[in-house]
Amino acid sequence: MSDIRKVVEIPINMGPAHPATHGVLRLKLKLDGEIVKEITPVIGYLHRGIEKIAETKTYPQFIPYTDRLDYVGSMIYNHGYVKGVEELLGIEVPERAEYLRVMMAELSRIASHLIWLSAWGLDLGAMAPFFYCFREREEILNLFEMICGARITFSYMRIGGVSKDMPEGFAERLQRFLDIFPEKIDEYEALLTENEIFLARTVGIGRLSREEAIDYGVTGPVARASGLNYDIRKIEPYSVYDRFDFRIPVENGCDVYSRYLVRMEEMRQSTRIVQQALDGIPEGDIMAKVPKKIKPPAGVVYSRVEGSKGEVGYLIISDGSDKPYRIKIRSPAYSNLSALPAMCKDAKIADLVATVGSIDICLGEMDR
Amino acid sequence: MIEKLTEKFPDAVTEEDGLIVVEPERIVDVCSYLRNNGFDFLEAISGVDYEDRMEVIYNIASYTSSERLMLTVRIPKENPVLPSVTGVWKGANWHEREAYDMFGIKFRGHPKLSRILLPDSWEGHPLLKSYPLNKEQEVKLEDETGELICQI
Repeated sequence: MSDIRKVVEIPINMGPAHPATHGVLRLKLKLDGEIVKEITPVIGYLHRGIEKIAETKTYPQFIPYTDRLDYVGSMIYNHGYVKGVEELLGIEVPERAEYLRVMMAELSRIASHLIWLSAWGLDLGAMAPFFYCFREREEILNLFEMICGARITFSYMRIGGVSKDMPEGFAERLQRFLDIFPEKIDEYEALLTENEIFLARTVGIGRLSREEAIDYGVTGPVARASGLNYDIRKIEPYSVYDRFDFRIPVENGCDVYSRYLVRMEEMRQSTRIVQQALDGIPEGDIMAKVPKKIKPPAGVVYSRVEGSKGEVGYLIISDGSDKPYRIKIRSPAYSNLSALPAMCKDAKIADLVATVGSIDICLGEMDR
Repeated sequence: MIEKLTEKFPDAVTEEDGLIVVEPERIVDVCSYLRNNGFDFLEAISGVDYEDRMEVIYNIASYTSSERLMLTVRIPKENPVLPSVTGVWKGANWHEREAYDMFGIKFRGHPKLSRILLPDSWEGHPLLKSYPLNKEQEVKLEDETGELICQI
């Protein structure tokens, strides 16, 4: 009798166009039955040469490109870039502008986490969170539209400040949103947090130990779910983050479920930050005095902010002209995804889907 | 930390107007020393193309404090080779692949130095200042066996 159980490793190609890879990520897999034996992420399908484009644009002209990196949380990408250029120029940003920036960045973080939760829920077969999350995200986008006219690609932050002040009725509408949003998070949690099927799909899956997280340079919610208390808003407070009272959630489960818990708590904390910023926003200008032609002195600056996915960094090298000599964008999901093979050692293919979703990748910022 | 570094590696680390310049051949020693002394977080590795030289910039920070460092390594344009730090941080893998892809910088000892953002058949390294911007290229996508899947 021939051995019908002979092990054959089957190469499988997942993506680049696959609903569970969140964009155009391609995974080359080697499967032994249902077990993933080898995994090679292939990226670059959305490469647009943004770092090269940067060298041909003036400093303000590059702001719209930063929107198109992480298109679900682009306010934070605006922030990192303008902060870097301001550091090069030595500009003081007016307080009111800093408060507006923090408010928008935190709303952006909530919107990004909502997109993550809805898409990840779909990966796991939970359809309902998708509709719940998009309901609240819609209101955040309406608020963004009110303040800057755009819903996705804002270019709201400018070198020296922000483009527009809060219009009439904005503060009231934002307040209404902040009043109802914590209850909505309870609603999402009621659907998932103690759901037995959800727990079976997430607890103990996609483990990344603390040491591995350090080794791979993982940041953001993925690092905080592996027990690393690392958040740039606390460790090196920029803008006016040192004035607000908020907590950095850290979990020690190192698994997919912990990443979920961290992000849910982050949404609550972001709501608190927006509330404090809205209550304490000072009167004043929203733009600093900035020269018409922006020509930073020659120098190198590395500006980092806490994005919704982790550390967003801009390495900006100026040669004294009106165009950057080189801009390197440090994308958080790029480093986080490079740890995927470590998370999926001998995982089942369905767990691989749950793990890829839990990293919260955005190909726009990874491929640049 | 800068003083400590120049003291520990007098022949490999120098300070030039705020920049920490490291000898290419000693980068692995300097990085392992940093990793064991609090600077455990490799943020990014970036290439830069200057008229007379290439530079590789290492942004190194800490998971527990706000301290961070920027190391600069200068390598000649005609032979851009330096040792890989993948033995110090596994996360250096993709950053070094990117620097190879965009600048053609070769990292000696890298487990699999291949292109990451561009297709394998791409010619040239786009972030070099000498790269022709309007050059058109045929892109071939091949599977493992070398069979052509599509051509654009």
